Amino acid sequence: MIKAVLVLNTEGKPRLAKFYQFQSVEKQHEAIRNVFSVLCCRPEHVSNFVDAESFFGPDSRLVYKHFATLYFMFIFDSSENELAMLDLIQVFVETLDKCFRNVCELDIVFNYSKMHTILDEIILGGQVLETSSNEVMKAIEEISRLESASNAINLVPKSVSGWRSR
Amino acid sequence: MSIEDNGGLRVLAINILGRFLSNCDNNIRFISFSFITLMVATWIGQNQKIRLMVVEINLRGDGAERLRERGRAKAPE
Repeated sequence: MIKAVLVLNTEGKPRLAKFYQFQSVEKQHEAIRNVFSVLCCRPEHVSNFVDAESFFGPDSRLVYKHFATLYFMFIFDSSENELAMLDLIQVFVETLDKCFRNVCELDIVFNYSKMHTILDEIILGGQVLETSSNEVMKAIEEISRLESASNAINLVPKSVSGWRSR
Repeated sequence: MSIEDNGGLRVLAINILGRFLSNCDNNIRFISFSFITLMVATWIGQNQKIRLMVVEINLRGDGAERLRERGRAKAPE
């Protein structure tokens, strides 16, 4: 089970914070600060796996990847594999890159709802739903097509036909 | 780890993990070294005779810490 997904920039400002286990808001902020204080002074040549028991309770591990000005990190328990989580970060970043065309931190700041939609297509309730970047892109395009349908009468047949064709 | 099987699959698993251990990526080396120490601790307790060739790797960061945590895993004869 994945416990949390965090995206921080190199100054420690959270750009995405999604927790799949309940924690109070104070604990969430404290966890984000602790995670950043560990990651910012971590050298590049060590492995990307951190023991996260001091932030997220027992049986927690953290996998992070550093892209440009952002840290992408997943916190999970022992039922997930570290290398699989590392690959899932890559899938997530590739999907963002396809969606925004040369994604940078500014795209993430101004399109946070689309980033949440992409993350919900990949992970839901702490479980991994989809590991293919193309399938996620198809779903995102369908969702954006439904959103752009301004006529309320056209919305219902499209959603019904979309549901039947799946 | 919990699969009860003959020694053939275990030798194959150790060989595959050894090949991962010689990878140049730090993440893959860390995972394979963790599994090898776990296998050594599990299978030596079952009086299994395993000849384990651990290549000399430059232990830095997490590898050294994990090795210290679990104690020196020596290759059995």
